[in-house]
Amino acid sequence: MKQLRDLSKQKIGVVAAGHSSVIANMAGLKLPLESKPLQALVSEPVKPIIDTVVMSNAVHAYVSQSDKGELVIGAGTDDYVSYSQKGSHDIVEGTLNAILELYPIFSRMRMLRQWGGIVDICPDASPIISKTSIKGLYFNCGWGTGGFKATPGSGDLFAHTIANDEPHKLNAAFNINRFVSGDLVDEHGAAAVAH
Amino acid sequence: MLNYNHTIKEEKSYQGLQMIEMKPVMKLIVRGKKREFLSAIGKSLNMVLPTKANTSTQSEKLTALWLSPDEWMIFSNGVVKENTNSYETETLLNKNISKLDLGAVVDVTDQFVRINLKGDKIYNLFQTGSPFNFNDFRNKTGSVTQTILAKIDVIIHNQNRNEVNLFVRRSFSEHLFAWMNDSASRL
Amino acid sequence: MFLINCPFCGEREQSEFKAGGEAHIVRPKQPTELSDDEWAEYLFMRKNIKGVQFERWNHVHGCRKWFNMVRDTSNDQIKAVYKMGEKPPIK
Ligand SMILES: Cc1cc2nc3c(=O)[nH]c(=O)nc-3n(C[C@H](O)[C@H](O)[C@H](O)COP(=O)(O)OP(=O)(O)OC[C@H]3O[C@@H](n4cnc5c(N)ncnc54)[C@H](O)[C@@H]3O)c2cc1C
Ligand SMILES: [Zn+2]
Repeated sequence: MKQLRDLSKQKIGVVAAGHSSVIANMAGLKLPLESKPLQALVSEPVKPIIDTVVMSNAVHAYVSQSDKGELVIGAGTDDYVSYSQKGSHDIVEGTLNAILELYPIFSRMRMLRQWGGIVDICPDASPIISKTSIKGLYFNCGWGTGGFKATPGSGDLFAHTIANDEPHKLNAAFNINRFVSGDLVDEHGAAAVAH
Repeated sequence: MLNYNHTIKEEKSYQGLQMIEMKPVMKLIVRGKKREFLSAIGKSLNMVLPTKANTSTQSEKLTALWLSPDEWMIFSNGVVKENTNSYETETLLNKNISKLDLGAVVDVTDQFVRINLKGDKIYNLFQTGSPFNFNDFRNKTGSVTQTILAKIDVIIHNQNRNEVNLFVRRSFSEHLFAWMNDSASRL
Repeated sequence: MFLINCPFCGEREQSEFKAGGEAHIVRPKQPTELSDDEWAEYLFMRKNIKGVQFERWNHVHGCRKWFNMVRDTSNDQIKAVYKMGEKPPIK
């Protein structure tokens, strides 16, 4: 595939999360990403039983209760690349095993829904908010399993990066060139599993 | 002399299922690729290693399980007397395999625990915690599989109709046995 | 969730396997002469294809052998399985 060099007068910012590589490939660009299914589950609604978000790095799972009374449960990704939006049953089983280690009382809860979203994961598990080797093409991606809470800040910094064709000092470290220079930002190490 | 400390202290019995640790049992892992390796093992032990996937072979004293195209487990059919065991099989294979650079021989007597299961509920038990399809396996004496049971790596050998040997790493054995009892009590 | 036909053991549940990522990435013959860009390309950059992907898998909970697989990542359909060192049976 031919790699684009310059979008000349245009500027394009790509925020396609799990599909970032698909878009990058259109421009002949490879990204340091793998897209994997990440699942979550929701139970039948019950009366208030847990009033906070509980996240365990030891058994690897999280649970909270929605205002409607449903338990919201999740854990980690499958280990293979997939865009199928359905993860494996094995992951669901492992997630619920972990939840039951924490809360045996949930053993008879019925799960109502389960789904898999496709998350784009960097080798260092940190995001990319960056210019690329193609002038005028920018990527905000690699948020993996933890890009929800960062959305407003990441949007702001991405806009800054596109407008100035230079990163803001807060996202300078999250440039795509870190995979060449070796200045990785080890989110796995910093956050263990939770974020 | 075999200095084996068993991990599973008691025999357990349920309707249609008995579980007991067989101990001490000599266990070896042998690895090799060359044809000379296979024939040297054959000559030394007077038995052929199974080359067909998921099968085993047996002599009067020993059983050999296929684990991969170049790996087998050999174990003694009966229990070994602790004070008379002199590692004669390992010594013999050391001489005829390792020393001649034909392959590798490792004693795993203490690494693996052999649990013997009997009864017509064995496969009902396995079904509660394994992704493996036992339909063909249960009808073929001598079948071998490596799979997962309760998230734990196991080697399972169809010894006879309604009798299997299950090998599990020692450090997981107590937990697995507890899980098997829990699961068996609810079959 | 899918079944994988291990070239050594036969058909098994995917949970017995570990995914090993993109296949046929050739290890540099002369690592000392590689530029930083080439290192990054080799270590980190991935096609991450949505569609037919060539990949490596290991039957970790079975025979522990590595092998190659061709899978459509958009629907997890497996197109082919072949041993390490063999040419892919399809393009
Ligand atoms: C089950 C699950 C649980 C999660 N839990 C948490 C959590 O607890 N905390 C946390 O911080 N994060 C969590 N995340 C991660 C978080 O959801 C994501 O990191 C975040 O939503 C990414 O935001 P985004 O704006 O970059 O991309 P998205 O919100 O994914 O948006 C990408 C958009 O691009 C669109 N798109 C794709 N391709 C194209 C195309 N070719 N043309 C046009 N549009 C296209 C898509 O339709 C989509 O709307 C979770 C993710 C999942 C799947
Ligand atoms: Zn296998």
